[in-house]
Amino acid sequence: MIERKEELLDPKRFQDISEESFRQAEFVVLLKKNGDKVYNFAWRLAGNEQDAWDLFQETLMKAYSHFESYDKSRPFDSWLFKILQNVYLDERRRDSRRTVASLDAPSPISGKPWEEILAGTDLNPLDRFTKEENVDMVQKALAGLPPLYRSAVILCDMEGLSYDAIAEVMDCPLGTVRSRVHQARLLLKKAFEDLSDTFHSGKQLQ
Amino acid sequence: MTTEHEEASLLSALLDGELEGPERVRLQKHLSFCSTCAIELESLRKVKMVLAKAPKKSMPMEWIQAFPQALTAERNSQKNSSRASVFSQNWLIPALVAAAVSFAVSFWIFQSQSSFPLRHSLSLNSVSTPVSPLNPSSSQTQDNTP
Repeated sequence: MIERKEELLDPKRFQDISEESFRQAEFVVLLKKNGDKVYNFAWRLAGNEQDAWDLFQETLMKAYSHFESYDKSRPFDSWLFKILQNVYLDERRRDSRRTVASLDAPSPISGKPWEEILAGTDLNPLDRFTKEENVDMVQKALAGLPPLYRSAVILCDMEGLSYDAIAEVMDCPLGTVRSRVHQARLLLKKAFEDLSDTFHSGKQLQ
Repeated sequence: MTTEHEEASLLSALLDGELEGPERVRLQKHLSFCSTCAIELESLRKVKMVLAKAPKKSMPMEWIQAFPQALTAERNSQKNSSRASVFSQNWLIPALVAAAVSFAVSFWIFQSQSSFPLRHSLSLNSVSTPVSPLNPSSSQTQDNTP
């Protein structure tokens, strides 16, 4: 009994509790500043809110458990982006039900191989989009990209990261980032074109 | 085709402001007379614009406020699962059974070994001092001798 009392009153215990609370508060402050960007990245990667939510929560749990390793001189959002990207890719690898798109696999948008789509030169498919239409189109088009292309183009065009920052998040050379962003844009251009055709032909039928 | 003229990805790099020095000058010069590359650059710019203008989702604030509680719950569940996992190990029950059996066997062997010399000595004693009904006890005769 005496030992238990001593344990309870051990000052080290209170020190641990206060350190933990301080750590939590620090994490929450950083999260409030940067969370929107990271959540948006999760949403765009996952393609729907439920998966985005799961991905985001798992990322935060992982980030918090490795918070000691975060270098405070570097941007917190890039650090979270990197963790999220890794969690996302791990999930994709684990989940055998989801098919990971590769350049050899047929594109889910048009059914053609990616190589064929990349070689296409059709222009200005986006002129036919209205503001409302492009909301859904963007998500559908992004969902059809191979995961690494998707990450690169989201980080570049939606989150406004530099190639240097993307290279750090994706853990790859600068040239690879440039290539992934470019290939993603070519695929998106083609995807917008196909989705736009489907949408407008559907409208005409109605 | 752009690929025939310039490395295609340079167009995206130019668009993103990631091209500098002689490469940038060379590409800009090329674009001034190559309409194919100029049109390609324009279509890439449109894709970039569509993505940049796409709506964004905000992180739900209530979850952030509840983050410390969620963290505590997660940690507790991890603790419980780690405790449970010790008992859910597949090897644990067979190992315990094997240990119990080996203990019982070794105990039985020990018992039988320790009791054998006792029985053996008892039987030896009985042989050394046989009690024959035909021959009365020698001790008595010995005692009777002067």
